[in-house]
Amino acid sequence: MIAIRAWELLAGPSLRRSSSSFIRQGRDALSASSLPVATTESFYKIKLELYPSSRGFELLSTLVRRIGSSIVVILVTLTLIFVGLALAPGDELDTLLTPEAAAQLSPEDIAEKRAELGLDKPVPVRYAIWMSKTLSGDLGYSTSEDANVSEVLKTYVGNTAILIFAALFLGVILGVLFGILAALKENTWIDYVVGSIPIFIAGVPGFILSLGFIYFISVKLNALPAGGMHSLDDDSFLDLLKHMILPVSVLALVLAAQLVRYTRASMLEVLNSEFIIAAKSKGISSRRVTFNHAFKAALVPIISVIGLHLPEIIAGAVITETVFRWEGMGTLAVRAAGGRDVPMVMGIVVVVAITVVITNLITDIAYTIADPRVRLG
Amino acid sequence: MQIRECALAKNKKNSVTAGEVVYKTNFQEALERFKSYRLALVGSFVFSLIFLMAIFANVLAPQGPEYIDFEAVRQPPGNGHLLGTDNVGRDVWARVAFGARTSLTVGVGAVVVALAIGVTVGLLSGFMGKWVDTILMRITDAFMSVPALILIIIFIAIVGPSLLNVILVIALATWPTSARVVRGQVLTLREQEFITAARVVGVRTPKILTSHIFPNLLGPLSVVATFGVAGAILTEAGLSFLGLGVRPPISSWGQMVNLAQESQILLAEQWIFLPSGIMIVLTVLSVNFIGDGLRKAVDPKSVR
Amino acid sequence: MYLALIELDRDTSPKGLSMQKLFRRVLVLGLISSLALSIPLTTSAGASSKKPADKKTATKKPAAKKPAAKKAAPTVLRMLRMGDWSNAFGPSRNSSGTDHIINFMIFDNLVKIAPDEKTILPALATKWTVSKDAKKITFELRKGVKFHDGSTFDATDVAETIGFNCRINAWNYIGYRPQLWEAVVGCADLKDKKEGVPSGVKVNDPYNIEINIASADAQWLRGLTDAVYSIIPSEVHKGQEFKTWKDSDFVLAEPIGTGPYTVKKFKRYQYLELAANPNYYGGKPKIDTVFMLLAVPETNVLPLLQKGEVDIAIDVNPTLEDQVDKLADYKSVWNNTTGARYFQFRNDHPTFGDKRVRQAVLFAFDYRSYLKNVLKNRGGIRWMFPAFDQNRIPLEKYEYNPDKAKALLKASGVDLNKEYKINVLAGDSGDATMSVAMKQALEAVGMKVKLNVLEVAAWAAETRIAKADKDTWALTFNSGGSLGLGTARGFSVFDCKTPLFSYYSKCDIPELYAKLRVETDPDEIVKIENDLMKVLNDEVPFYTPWLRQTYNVVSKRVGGNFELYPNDRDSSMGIAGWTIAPKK
Repeated sequence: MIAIRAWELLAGPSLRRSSSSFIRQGRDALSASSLPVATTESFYKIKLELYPSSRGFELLSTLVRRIGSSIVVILVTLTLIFVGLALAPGDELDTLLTPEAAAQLSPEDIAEKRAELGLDKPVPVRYAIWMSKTLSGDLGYSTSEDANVSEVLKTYVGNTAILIFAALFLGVILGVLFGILAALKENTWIDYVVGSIPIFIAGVPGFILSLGFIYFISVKLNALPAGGMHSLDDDSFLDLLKHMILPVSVLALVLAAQLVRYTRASMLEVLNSEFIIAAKSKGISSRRVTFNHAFKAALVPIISVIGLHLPEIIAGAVITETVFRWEGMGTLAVRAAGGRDVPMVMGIVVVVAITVVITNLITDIAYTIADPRVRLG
Repeated sequence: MQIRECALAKNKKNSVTAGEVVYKTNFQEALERFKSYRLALVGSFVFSLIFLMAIFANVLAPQGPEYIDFEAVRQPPGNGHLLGTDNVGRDVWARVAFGARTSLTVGVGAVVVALAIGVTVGLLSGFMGKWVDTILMRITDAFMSVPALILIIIFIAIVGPSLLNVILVIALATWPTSARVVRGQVLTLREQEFITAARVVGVRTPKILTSHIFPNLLGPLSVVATFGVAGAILTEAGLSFLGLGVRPPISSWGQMVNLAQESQILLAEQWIFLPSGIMIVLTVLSVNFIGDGLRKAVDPKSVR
Repeated sequence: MYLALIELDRDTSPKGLSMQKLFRRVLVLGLISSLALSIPLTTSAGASSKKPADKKTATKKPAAKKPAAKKAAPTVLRMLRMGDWSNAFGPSRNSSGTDHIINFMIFDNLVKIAPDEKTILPALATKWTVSKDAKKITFELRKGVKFHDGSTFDATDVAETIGFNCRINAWNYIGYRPQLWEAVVGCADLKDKKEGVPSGVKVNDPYNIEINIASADAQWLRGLTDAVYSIIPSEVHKGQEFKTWKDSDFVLAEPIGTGPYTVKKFKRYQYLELAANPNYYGGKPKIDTVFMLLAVPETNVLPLLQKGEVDIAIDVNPTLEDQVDKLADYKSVWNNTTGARYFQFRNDHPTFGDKRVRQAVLFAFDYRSYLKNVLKNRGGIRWMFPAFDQNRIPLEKYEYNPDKAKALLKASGVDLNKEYKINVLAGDSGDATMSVAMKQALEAVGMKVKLNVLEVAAWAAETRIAKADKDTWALTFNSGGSLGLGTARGFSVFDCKTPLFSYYSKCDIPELYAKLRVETDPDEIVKIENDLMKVLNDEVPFYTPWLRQTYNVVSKRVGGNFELYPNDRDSSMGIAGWTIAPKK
């Protein structure tokens, strides 16, 4: 990943115009090579190349450019999905009316109802109407949720967000810790155990994991609730936390499983690399070496993976939410899509796309902090 | 790369042009590296067994996965049914064997389509540059800005669940990865010296593509592909859970695993869902190991 | 600060140590703070702030043991019923069995039905008379009944309820249509009006009301027990039209009825909390609080039972029985329902229009084997709709006979090379299994069949083209809950003018049903029923092979007059008399 980046930078200004973010480069390369290919020579090479004078201004202009292109991206996403939904067989009215109800209505009645919902207009017109309403802040009314889309989103985004934040927090800590552990104890039995468990977890379908947790912890040990967000008639925050524990554990486990491998690999990579050996030979104690240099260098792919998962803050935990009866964006999206509730789906996509853009930006900034040799553009 | 050429050229009996030597040498080296990683070999072996199971499913289970014997509903293994029967009376072993076909089709099919789209977009983007690049990249970003599962749910809601739709939809949600990989590679390679040299010599663009670009794409893309196959199989299982996956009577492992949603099957009739679950884990693991091996083969500096 | 960090970071010597630690701490702090930020999100999101402590202490009075003032802990019932509901209240939103069950906790009708599903019992009406020509029904209403908002119930409320239903356009009914109100004289005139009561409704005095219906209907009163006909207060809907009504607090959060329970809390897709109405005319309900768990996925039903977190589970997966038997606190309750699964045909279809083909399909299927092996002998074999007397006249029982099926197919000259499409509604595993079985059965007698699984939206979209393209819906599966409620319960599919997804185009059946509906002479009823049965059995536009049994789990602590009605959606009509013993 860093190797590619190095080439790109060395190749000259013509490539810098393609404003791909580092996180995306990281993501591509991660999926291609799944590991940082940190050629140490390139580190220093780039360092020398890379310090122009007006860095602050560069940063700002890059940011502005990024936000601009992100808006374009969001618009493209919205258009594609709106058109797709509008052209799908069946629409909101079909799912609202049970077949018996539909049979009892005359075609004129159905046409009237359709006109009322605005479903009879051609797709570009409907799109224009929706876009103008959205830009003025009105996300529309959700027929599948009987409420304004923005009201629904406020609740559901919060519900998913607390789940994912907690899972990220826990998962990152677990994954990084165990990854470092495995790297430090390379080729011992600890390494093999810690290294192979994540592989198995990766292969197990998500809902089996969730069900396993429910049966072993919630039922057999009778320790925690079996699902839902609250106990009956208990709205306290403590109760919510109790209900959060199992779904967060499942999500954290899956995330940690992925992180362990990456962390271990990149820690090993760095630990064995030349500049660590050089640092060690300089006489710096190995503990310091580990936690300052190695960890810092290994941090980059970790941030990559976290960045990959941040979009899930909004919509990633569909299956876990469904099994645990957690009313989050995932269950909402499934319902809305099934009910052809176009305003609701579009609202979800708007929120998700904006979140992804913001999280990408944040991750890129985090990258720049972690590795100052990296540029935002 | 140049150092390697010199060192190994000593061992090469035949003298060939610069480009060809690079290709052959790299490939043989890569193969050696792949072989040296034991788990990759194990993975390849297991995967080929699964592949054979898919191909010879009709030999292994002549009855077919769809035949229902209502007299033998929910029977445990035995009595002519190697793995018992499921909740409707179909032979589980037959469904697992034929399910291999479906799951592998989904896995490989989704990846093939995703690569087809992704490589095309990536090549166009990388080579054409300027406006084409910008537009294509914005579209790619658009697809990437929504998490894959949500995108898939929305798509399936639009087109309905069927084997073909599932393949297309998973491909539609995952092609951006390969597009960016290809684009990245093309962009870097394009400026490299040996390409410039070839251009100077007068090699035409199609030849550049085939003899220089593609070989260098194979490495990263093969890694993307293998992980993509595993991902697609798992996504299909997830879709089946939501009721959006492949439907009976076509059998797929994801669909069979989801029968465990019924508590009786989960707790007392495990033979109905456990074999498919194990097959999924085996396939994903073996594919992951192959992918790791490929990664190692492609880039020797990566550690496991 | 950002730039400073970068400048300082240039140097990887140990001097930069503190900066590394600082930045790592910043990252971790960032994560923690984002988690912390989400806490206000939570409290504004699903959870309200901590409930005041006195709520809990109210249940347990501390030590002072005065035998006279004993405060028992409030009794709580938790129940669930599988299946979706409309997530809204009020007779205009009823579209499922769960809607009905919730409806009868909050509202009352003029009359209600006894658990035998035949005897009509008084509810808001204490006495009634039906005229000889079955066109006029006079009710004497109960005195002293109060709505949940304190207002008094009288005849005006009944009249206004009918008027309101007439004014709302029929197409606004997302679920079941109030056809009995629409049958009242003058109802159609009120369409699109802002207020008014049908001319056929005469309020004689505050507790006496007379209703005239346009055409004679001997079954009108029996039908009035359906949840669609609940009585709502007259003030609530004054001047409203459907658009405002459907978003009103009444419909979405705080319905007002006369029933034994009021809605205390409604958490969409989580649970509904109902509190006992102390002023209920039938006496305060014995159970103080009822929780209705909503949107419970199949996977969670057993864990909830194993943890003892639900007391009554209605219509759950029958395969749970083995696991439930291991639980000491629960008993399995099998309920003979009034419903049935059935096959339905389009008889204007080029192939299935020939009755020999339809009969061939029925002979091709092995019902007894299916019942024994798949339905585990739960239910029974039928060859006529449940409410009819199966054995009164000799009827063809369509016992499994593939040879006869083949012969009939040959005789009708059907093209066996053509592939016939069976549409199956996705998500209903009962239909999924049956459709596969049917496909196999038909292929065994030589027909080529393709199963077309459709999502709800696509299924509904297909109904729109059902008229145009006869090839869709040649054979479909469906289930009807009310088939056993009475022989006069006709279906709109028998309307020979409006095709549904199956279609019977001859008008003899609708005519017979119409006759049955108005007939009051018992001997005549038997004659018409016999004629109807002959036609249904010979033409087979519909066929019900099995009686439907549902599986329910009930806690052993539940008692009182708790009983599951054969039409289980009526079960909460008696909820005021249910009891639940405290947990040991």
